[in-house]
Amino acid sequence: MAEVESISHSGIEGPDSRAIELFYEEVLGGARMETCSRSYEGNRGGDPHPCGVIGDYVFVIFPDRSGKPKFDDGRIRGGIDGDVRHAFSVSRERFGEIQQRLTERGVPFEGPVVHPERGPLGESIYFRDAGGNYFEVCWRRDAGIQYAPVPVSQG
Amino acid sequence: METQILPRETDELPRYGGHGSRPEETGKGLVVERFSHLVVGVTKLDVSEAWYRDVVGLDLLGRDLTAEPNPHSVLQTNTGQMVILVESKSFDRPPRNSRHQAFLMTPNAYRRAYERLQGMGMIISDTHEGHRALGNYSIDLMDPDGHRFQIQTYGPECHEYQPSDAGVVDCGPAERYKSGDVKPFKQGNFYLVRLREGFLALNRWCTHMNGIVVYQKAHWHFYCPYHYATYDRRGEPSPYPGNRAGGPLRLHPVTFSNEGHVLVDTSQVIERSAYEPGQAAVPPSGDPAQAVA
Ligand code: FES
Repeated sequence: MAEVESISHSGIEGPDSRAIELFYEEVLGGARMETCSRSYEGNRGGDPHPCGVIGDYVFVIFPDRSGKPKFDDGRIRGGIDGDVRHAFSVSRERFGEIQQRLTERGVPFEGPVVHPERGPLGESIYFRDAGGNYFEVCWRRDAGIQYAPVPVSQG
Repeated sequence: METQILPRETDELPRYGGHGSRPEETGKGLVVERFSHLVVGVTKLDVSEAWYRDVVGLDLLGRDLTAEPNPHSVLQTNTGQMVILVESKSFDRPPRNSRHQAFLMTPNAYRRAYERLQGMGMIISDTHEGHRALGNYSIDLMDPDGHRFQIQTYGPECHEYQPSDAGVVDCGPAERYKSGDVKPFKQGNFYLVRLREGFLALNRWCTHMNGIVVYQKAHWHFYCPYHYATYDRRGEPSPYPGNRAGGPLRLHPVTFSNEGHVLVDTSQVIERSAYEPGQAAVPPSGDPAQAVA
């Protein structure tokens, strides 16, 4: 037993625009986007920002106002040189759908890469969003065994 | 010495996901099913593996189990989400920015983590402590390479009703209120609402996670600033997708004194699953209120 139940949220940075929300809605196929209002975020000194909800996990997109180009190195698969990479799982049957969505939207991706059979992952594809954040979508060999979602409140 | 109030002891599993989310809030037709794993670049695999296992408390699954080209280590949470640590030779320490990840624990695991971190001489801090709903706990952490994390839990006190000690509150003559009026009572922590059907005393604790709702007159609704749940004047959750309200606002019983004053008994609370007109207390005169909208 681990001491940790789940990874519950991530904060990433991205351009402050509706475009990045649409990217997640369209590429991940239905991630529910909402906006943290100024009244909520403003009272702790932040800016309003979009959030994506996927099951029991939320990713929060903070507006990146650094003005620095984030996507100028041509890399698609990465996230290990001081950054991180976020990976979502999909059923094996629908894995192809994500590749199709990326192709339709002209988003370059790498893969599918096949993982060793002794490990928990099946295949992965890799891509980046408009903010240069690294993403991966995979199907998992252990999907039927390990999945134990965070229980939800009944009232 | 404790530098943070701790959750009450329990092994109860979390009732919510990140930021108080619930899986059923997810959009329709979702293709991706869940968050699977986080890949983190590290400079020294042995050091980081020990940190994520012994400090954070993840289970170690093994080394080099995926197609990552560099040496790597796979660790796992109880719900099967993973952290994959990948050794990198060209690692740049991440700049200070908004990027961070959060690990969710049970209240008891959080208490153990608190002790563990204190035992290591760490100063426990939470940048947003003053802005969390009751029962939300969080500790800021940084891994050996400067990646920012939080460990968090939801204590049982975040969804349990918190009684006030105000007892019975006299809200003045019933005739002073006209239909549509909403009046806050700080003593007892409730709103008195005059509906066409009668009076409701709505407890201000949000039914998502014990945030405190405020009445927004311009929008004719109650609003919880923590995760923006809204409720109509009958205390019913507004019917939009993603409203985090866990049900209607709770009621306090309303009676009337011989002098016709509205009395609200804050020592009692009525849980309900929906609004029904019979919940509104009608003043003895039975005068229908004058409608304003
Ligand atoms: S506490 Fe979450 S919406 Fe009120």
